[in-house]
Amino acid sequence: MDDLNAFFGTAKKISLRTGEKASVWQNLLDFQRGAAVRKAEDVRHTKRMRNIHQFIHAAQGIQMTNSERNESFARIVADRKNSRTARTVTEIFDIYLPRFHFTPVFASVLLLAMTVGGTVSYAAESALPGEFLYGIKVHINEPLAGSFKFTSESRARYETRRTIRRLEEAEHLAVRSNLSRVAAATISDKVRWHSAKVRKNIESLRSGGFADAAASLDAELMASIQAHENILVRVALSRQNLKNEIATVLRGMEIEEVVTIAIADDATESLALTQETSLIATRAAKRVDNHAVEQLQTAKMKIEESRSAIESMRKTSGMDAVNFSLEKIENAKMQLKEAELLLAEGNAEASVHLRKFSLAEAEEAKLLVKIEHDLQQSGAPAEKMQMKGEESAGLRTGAEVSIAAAKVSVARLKELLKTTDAAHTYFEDARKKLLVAQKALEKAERALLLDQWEEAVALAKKAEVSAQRVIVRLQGEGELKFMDKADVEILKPKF
Amino acid sequence: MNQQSDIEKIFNDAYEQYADAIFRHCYFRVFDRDRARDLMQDAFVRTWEYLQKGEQIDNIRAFLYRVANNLVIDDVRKKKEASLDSLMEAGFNPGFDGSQDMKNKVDEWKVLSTFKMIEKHYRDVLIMRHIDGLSPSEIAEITGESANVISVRLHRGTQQLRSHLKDG
Repeated sequence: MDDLNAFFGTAKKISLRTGEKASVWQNLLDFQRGAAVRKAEDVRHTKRMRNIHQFIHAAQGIQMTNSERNESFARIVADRKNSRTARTVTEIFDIYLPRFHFTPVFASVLLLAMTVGGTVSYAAESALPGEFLYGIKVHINEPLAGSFKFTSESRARYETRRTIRRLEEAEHLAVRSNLSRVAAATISDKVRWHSAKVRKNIESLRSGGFADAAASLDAELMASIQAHENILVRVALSRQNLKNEIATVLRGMEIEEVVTIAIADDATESLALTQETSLIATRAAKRVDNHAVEQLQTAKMKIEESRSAIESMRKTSGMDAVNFSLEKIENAKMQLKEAELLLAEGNAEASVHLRKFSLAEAEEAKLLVKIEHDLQQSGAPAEKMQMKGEESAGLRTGAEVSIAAAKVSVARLKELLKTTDAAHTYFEDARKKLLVAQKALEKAERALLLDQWEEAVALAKKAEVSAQRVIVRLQGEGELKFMDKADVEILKPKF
Repeated sequence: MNQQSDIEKIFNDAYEQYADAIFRHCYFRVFDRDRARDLMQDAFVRTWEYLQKGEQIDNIRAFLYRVANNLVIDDVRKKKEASLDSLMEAGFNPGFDGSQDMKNKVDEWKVLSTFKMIEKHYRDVLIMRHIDGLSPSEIAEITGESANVISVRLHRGTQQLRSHLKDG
């Protein structure tokens, strides 16, 4: 009887999260305002039918822009000249109809899939870029499933799941050395599309008054995506001939965002920033927030889940991979501890970011063991492609030098912030710009790993300049004349 | 206080009191958090409409469970019940309370996977009896079965559950 009591006792503890309960209540209030007109069944049925009709209408109405039409025609002509053989249907659509696959042919396929009862749709679920059914998977199955997500939160999660699916497809293809240039471009395009939708839905949640839910969702979702990005870099190190393709996929994640941040102490003040990080609008509360504490507990639990998953893979995976991953778990725990301290100090925003990094670290650790196993199963890594000797060495060295310089500037800024009074008028802005610089530096290092040297140099310069500008402002305009000549050079308008 | 504000108060109180319980009821039967939430919402929408028609509800708790039960049955008929593994792969989050320690979290996962192993009509009555706290006669009223049938299912369901817990 004790077993049964314990069993049911545990079951009774499962409940709605605070955000979920509030979200449903809001839906009910909205429904009440319209209740005089429509019944619940009609609302849901009408919404579904409207979504499906909108979907079909949009699908049939989609056209290429003039430039895309011209570009497609140029490719067809070029291919004819080169006498290339016919490709798979999906590859043809992906090349000649880059974004818009909804020709009348595809609209017919959509209707066919709906009437046949889903057999084709079901078979398409495991399709990969380059396969015939891939178009059905990403342009029919997924949008239809997504049309039944009615809240911003569920839509954000759904689009994140789609983003991660694309990254997993890239991982799958790369591990098996099947990631073509075309497939990489396709995936990159789709990743850009889905992650923009994630952003939009999270922003919608925030502007709907659910800032805490938005921040929590952002940390959780971006952590998953970041983990997959890092895994792709790991695969690139093992599949050297696919570095360019993997770099192409990862560029799909780089979206410029304009985020408006409201500061809690002065609710009327707001700053507009342009940045490439995954910052989400949240109020910078100066007191410990119970909800934030709850989120930290959730993060702790997720890290533990990752650790258990890694431990369970000891028998099937290499010892090195498992131990390395467990070290990452320890890093994640340390970052989370630091996030707790920041929250206790009243720095909620920085705490959210560290929580995100710790979640990303833990998720990456879990994925790493699996990907190592898959890489071993798929055979030895491909030979590195040889570039022209001196040229490549020179490019690489240039990138390394730029990154080293950026690291110095970012480290200097970090030290300066530690000794700057938090009451300084520019302090908060400086802290955010440090995150921007750190993110740019991370991306530069990643580009270096992928032999994308020009990109690495550009990102490193960006990190360096961002950091230097902030340093100058923190130290006051009058300090400018005492700066090194090299520092002044960096600040010239060419950047 | 006029009639409309009475209705609103009844409804608001009902949501505050039973939203989690109805959600839990749906969740253990469809194993999908989003679906469970939508079903719970639908149950309250229908209850609101019923109240708006001027109908009287003697026992709003039982009414909510009856509505939720019917909605779950309809939903399960339309959709194939997914395996827990495929749900996890699809990013399914069982939604454990973040304040719990590791042991409780593992126990909750065991609850979900154990429930999955029990036959559906036994599982439903076990949920209603031991999680929702409904009496056999209330369950009989909700499901439209006789009290005897419910008692037999409870007994057999408990045996199945005990055997799974012993194996587990």
